[in-house]
Amino acid sequence: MVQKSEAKDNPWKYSKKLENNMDVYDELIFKYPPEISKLEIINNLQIIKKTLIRYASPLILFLILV
Amino acid sequence: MKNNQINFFKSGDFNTVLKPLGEDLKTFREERIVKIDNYEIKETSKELEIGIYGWYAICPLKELKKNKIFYFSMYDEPLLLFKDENHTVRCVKNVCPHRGASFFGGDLKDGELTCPYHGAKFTSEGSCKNIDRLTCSHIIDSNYKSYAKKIHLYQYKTLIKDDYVFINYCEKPETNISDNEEELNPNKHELNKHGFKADEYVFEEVLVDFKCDWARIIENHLDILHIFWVHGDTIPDKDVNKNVLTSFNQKININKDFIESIYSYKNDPSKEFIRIKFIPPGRILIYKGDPSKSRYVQVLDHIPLGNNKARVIVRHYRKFMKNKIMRNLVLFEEIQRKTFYKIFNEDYMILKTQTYNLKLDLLKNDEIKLLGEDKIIKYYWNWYKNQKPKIILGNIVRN
Ligand code: FES
Ligand SMILES: [Fe+2]
Repeated sequence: MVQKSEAKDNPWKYSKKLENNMDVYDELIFKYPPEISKLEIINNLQIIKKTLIRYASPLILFLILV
Repeated sequence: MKNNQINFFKSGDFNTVLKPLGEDLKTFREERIVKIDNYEIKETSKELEIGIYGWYAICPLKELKKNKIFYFSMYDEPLLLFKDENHTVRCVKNVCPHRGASFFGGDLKDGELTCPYHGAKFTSEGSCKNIDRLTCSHIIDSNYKSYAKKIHLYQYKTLIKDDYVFINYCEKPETNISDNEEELNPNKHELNKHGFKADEYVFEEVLVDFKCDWARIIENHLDILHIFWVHGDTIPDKDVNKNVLTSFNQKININKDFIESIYSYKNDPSKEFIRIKFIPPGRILIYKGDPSKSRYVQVLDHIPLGNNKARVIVRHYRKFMKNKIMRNLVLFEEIQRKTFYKIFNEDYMILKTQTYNLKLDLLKNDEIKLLGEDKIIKYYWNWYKNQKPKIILGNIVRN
């Protein structure tokens, strides 16, 4: 009988990562960075926004008045 | 072949503990010195008493919004948190006891949980003293004698402490939980019991999610070496960076409730640099300096969501910048959060590849060498290995 190369060389021995891919809950469960970067982006936008309001707006106001 | 592992440390005076693992190591040891001076271990007990089951901080209380279900999992067991009609926080298995649907897509109104499949509504029920059950009486027809008259949700015990929601993760969820005081007591996590008064501090916190092994993240937080190398540029402390490596005296305390590693400066042993404490199953406290004087303390809670899934709650307690207006003005909170995210991003790639190597059996025992500073990590792994019968590849095995 011809032995299949697959059985002999066992090329799938590192394929454990294919197991357990019942990922129906994953989407539900992951919510935070670094995996889900949404909150990180929101935080960065906050920083830009607040910096503008706090420091740039008095300056612009001043320029307009002058 | 030479071991390259500590090549990036130029200083030769790192305390290095190496078990003779092979011939090639001998030369390595001679060259690199094994100096174990001022190295102290205090064992009041050989082993930690708490195992993988026990109290886990799951989320900050403020994450639990009204009429909103908080979904998560423990060792791949889908769970959820919500506040019932008496404002008691409930931790429930996300499986409807009728025919096993998830509550996702269902409804939560005024603390009443509704299943999306056949509309079973679950409300609190119990004796006047403790509300111990969540029961459905809507879809049950009590005339069918041989069928269930009532169905109850499966729950784990919860507890609120220091603005955290804790659950007592144990072998099996129950339909009938009691607020037995004694069982609530083993919560060793109360911050006041760990040498600093939490209410004298203010804090920021973030939650972070990783696709990697839970145990590897704990290891990362017990690891002092990487702080210099990986986070050196991000951490504001100028003593901590890639180029300066201070050497330390290390003291380890082993206790039945926690293991602790204290690092003090070699040239000034009375001055504590950092203290790291592991309180199983999932909490780590990091004190900058002596706990009673510490200006900031970090509380890290590790949540084993499942195989290759983990969450960390990071809380940074500090004694400076307590003034809220000032804090707002300099955007302290936002910038702090940004730093947190940056630090965890720095670890993430390493954690992912480490997990990959582990899961694919690429980390053989003799390919990993522990150094002196890794001593606490060794204690941690010993503890974790003892839990192994209960866990396979990050999943709890129930018998
Ligand atoms: S499966 Fe939940 S009501 Fe039927
Ligand atoms: Fe780290």
